Amino acid sequence: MKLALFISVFIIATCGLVYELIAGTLASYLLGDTVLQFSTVIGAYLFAMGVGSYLSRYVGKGLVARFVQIEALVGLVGGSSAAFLSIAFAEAAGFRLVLYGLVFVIGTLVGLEIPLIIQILKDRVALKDLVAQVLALDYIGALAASVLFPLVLMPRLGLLRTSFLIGLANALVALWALRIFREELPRRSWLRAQCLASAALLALGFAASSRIGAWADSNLYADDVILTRSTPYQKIAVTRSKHDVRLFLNGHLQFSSLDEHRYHESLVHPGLAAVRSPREVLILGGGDGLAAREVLKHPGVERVVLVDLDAEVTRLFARNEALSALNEGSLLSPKLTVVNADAFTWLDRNPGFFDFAVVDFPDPSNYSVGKLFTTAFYGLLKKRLRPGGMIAVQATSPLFARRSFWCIEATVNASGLKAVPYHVYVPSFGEWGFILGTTGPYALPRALPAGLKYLSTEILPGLFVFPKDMERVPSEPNRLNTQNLVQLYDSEWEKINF
Amino acid sequence: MGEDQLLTRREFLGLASLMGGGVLLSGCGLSAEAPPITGAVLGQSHPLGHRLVQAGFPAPSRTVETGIVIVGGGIAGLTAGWKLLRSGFKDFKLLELEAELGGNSRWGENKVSRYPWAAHYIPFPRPESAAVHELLRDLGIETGRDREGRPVYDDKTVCFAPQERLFIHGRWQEGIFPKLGATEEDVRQLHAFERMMAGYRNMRDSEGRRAFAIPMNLSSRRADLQQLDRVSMADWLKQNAFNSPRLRWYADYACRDDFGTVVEETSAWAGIHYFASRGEGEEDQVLTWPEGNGFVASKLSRLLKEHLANPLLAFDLEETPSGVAAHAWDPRRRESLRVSARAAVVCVPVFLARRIVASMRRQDPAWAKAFAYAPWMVANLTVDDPPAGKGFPPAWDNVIFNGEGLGYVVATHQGLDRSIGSTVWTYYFPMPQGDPAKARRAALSRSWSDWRDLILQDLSRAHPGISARVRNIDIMVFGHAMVKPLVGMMWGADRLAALKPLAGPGGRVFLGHSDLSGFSLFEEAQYHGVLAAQRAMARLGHPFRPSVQA
Repeated sequence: MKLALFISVFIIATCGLVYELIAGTLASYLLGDTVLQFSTVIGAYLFAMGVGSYLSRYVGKGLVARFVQIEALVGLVGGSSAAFLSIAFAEAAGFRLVLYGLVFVIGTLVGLEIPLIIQILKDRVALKDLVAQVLALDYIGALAASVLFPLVLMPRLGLLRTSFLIGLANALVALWALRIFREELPRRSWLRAQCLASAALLALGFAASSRIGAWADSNLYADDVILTRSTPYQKIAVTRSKHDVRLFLNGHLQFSSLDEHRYHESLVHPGLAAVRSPREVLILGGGDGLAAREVLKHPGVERVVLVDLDAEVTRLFARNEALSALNEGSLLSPKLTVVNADAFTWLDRNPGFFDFAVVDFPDPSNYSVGKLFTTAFYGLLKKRLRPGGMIAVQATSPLFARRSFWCIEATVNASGLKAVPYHVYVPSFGEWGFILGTTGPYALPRALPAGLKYLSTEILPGLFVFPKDMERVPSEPNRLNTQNLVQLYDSEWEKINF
Repeated sequence: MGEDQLLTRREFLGLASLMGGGVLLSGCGLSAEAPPITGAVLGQSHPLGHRLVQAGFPAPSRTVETGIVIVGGGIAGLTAGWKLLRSGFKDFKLLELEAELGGNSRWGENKVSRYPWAAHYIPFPRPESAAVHELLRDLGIETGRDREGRPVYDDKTVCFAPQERLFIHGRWQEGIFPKLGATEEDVRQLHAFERMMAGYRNMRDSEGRRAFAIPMNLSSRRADLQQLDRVSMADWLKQNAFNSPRLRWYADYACRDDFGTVVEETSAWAGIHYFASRGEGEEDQVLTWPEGNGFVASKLSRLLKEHLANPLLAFDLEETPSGVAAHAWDPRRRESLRVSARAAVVCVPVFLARRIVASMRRQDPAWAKAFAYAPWMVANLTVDDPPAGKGFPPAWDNVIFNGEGLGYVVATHQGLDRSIGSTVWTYYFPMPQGDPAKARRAALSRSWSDWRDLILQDLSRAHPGISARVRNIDIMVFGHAMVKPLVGMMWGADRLAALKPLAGPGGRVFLGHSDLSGFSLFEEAQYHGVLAAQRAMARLGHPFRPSVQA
């Protein structure tokens, strides 16, 4: 019995500190600025504990019963705090208010615990020993929490499961106390029901942690998340609202099904329709199969090779019904071969010739992707083009990143291809730019394939006209040894503060 | 339950320490659960090399005849062979002790990447480095000339951006000069220093020679410039009122990086040569490969395949009435053999030549003692999910301000693919201070785990927690890594004496090694290797078109 009581004190103390750490961790995850969040959360929590300690004087009769109830309540509130806060962050406007409110409630309840224990035991034990031993164990429990939380609980279980598990520990202490003091407690079954309810809810929460996590995540996006995957290369998320499906890679919008046709038709057809009888087409990037869908609208195309780094993306867009409906099954076409490899090394090692190449990489936001926007890369690509062939490059926004766009144009020119820039308006992206790199003179296509939703031969000439605010700015080509494009891009998008 | 005591003192303390201690232990145990780091100190063949000192090899059991014997398979020996081959002289053999050729340009490879064991770049050669241009064209690295007549290099061999970064004040900055937190005075002195270096870079004497050329032998002989060899780089900085600690660190880093010497003992001529001998602006770039200069070494080895004889330890080289006789130990067959040739090109450092060439052994030349060597340790670390760190993104060369070593070079930086997953870091650690012999003994006796701890501690200044990401550390200790360009070495009497033909009745033995330049640069090694090969061909009356001039 003595041992049991002491273990309870230890557990209570450990749980109390873990709740504080959970709140601090979540606050710094979600709000940033670790020092500020931890300081204020710890401050608010300790203050609340003081309030709780003071309030303990008003707990008069039925000390043991109150203690049991408080344990069950701390377990429930503290244990579900991580889940509650993650969801609240996405849903509620005044997240800070919710955060500190919750911290205050938990702190107050935890502050009640030790004074109550001391009151319960004060008539049975000499005060000197009681205070010394209970407080000492309280602090040892704090030490245990501060070691277990970062080294064992967080890495093994994650935040949500840790939170529910610790809550469960509190609820178990309540049940245990119920057993130890069974002779002194009236209406035991009612108390037991409360404790069991708390424990059951927490166990349920623990089991549903991953679903709760996904739900909280989904609220970070505007719409329902229908799919998430983490691959070695990126985090994939697909969302769906009433009218559109969106793909996010690392949180960046890749397309919206409402207007992606504007982007992909413009990426593919101004070039491909201008190539005389194209038979073999290379697609670099574009694992979503949407560019491939447009390429396959050209009946003369016999073979398409699609090279995308991430096997998970191409697999999803081939197999998932909702996604393959978007690309009209292009990735399953017998004409198409998927290669999962890095485009640059693949191109370097696999000689072969193409009539047209679609170059659809993410924007040059770092040195690693920046390699795919260099003279060396376009030069290599040029060697793989048949006479009369050309490439079409997604080249970021000529409006938001004007100097970057014209830098890519200069780079294509410096690689020995002739650059032909054009642009189109895609509502979900804004004004977007592309650059053709041609091996010969470029003439506008006289006909486009059937079944297009946006492009027509009438509007084509307009794509090649650049209004004043997007006009060419002179630029140095982007080379592997300079990567000036990455710096340009960084400075331009930083200004817009996206 | 006791009526007056909850627990006895003993019970309480026992319980408390059990709970507290148990938790702490489990925490510590879990935090150190990363798999152990593998690796080894890889052998240079020093035990075998040290047999040169003790001698005592058996008499040769067979004889091989050849036209020219090249002793040593570093860049000097390999380029000597290249020059012979390009001049149509095909009757030669190259003897090398190590299983892999390249000397300081050797390289290794694991599942993640190829990586260098020492030299890892060649600066864009200027026009006077004609032999370097010739070699690079020959190997397909220099692909042509642009409209203005400037050389064009294969894009994949020019060091990709970003090239260099420095860790200082808890974050990474671009470039090696410590700009972050520099005072106005630091910056003013840096600019003044750079202006002086630009002055030296563009300076030519009345004969049209550059003040500081590569190869260094083409540099101006003007007395005021050669005077710079009489003072240390540290004193030169002082004399020119450069007292910024950051500028001093920068100069010291350059000396340790290129020469393995500290600024206090480096000849100011050599120190300035580092800054003033290369091109500027667009021409101030370097050629590099994942395996460093091992790329060039392996291309040359393939070219010379039929002429290579390794591993063979040449332990004696003597002029005979009609030619030369080299004696070598074959460690695999455990027998000696005699290589009989008409001339010899000795492409080993001076400290080895003194042991091998019979005439030098009989009478140790007075100049030989001037050649001192810096010991180095080089480690290749396989790193999973390499950390980027705060601030400027990972570069090719990553230096830690006031670090123990020179920092690390990323082998996969020069890859075309998006580097994801694992990489290899080559960590350089010269030991410039103190008595080289002592430092050498200390370095050779250090255990792998001593080195591992030193390396990880140094790297964790910039990358806390790096130990958990390192999978393997292979280490090589180079006892005599490079000749030291000490004060007086560059234009003093000793080095100039070493350039003179070796004494010998027939004049058939020719030294050719970067040692003869006073510092260990790729271009200097090639210069002396090719020069010695040319001299040997001239001695034998074989016609050739000279690539270098004495």
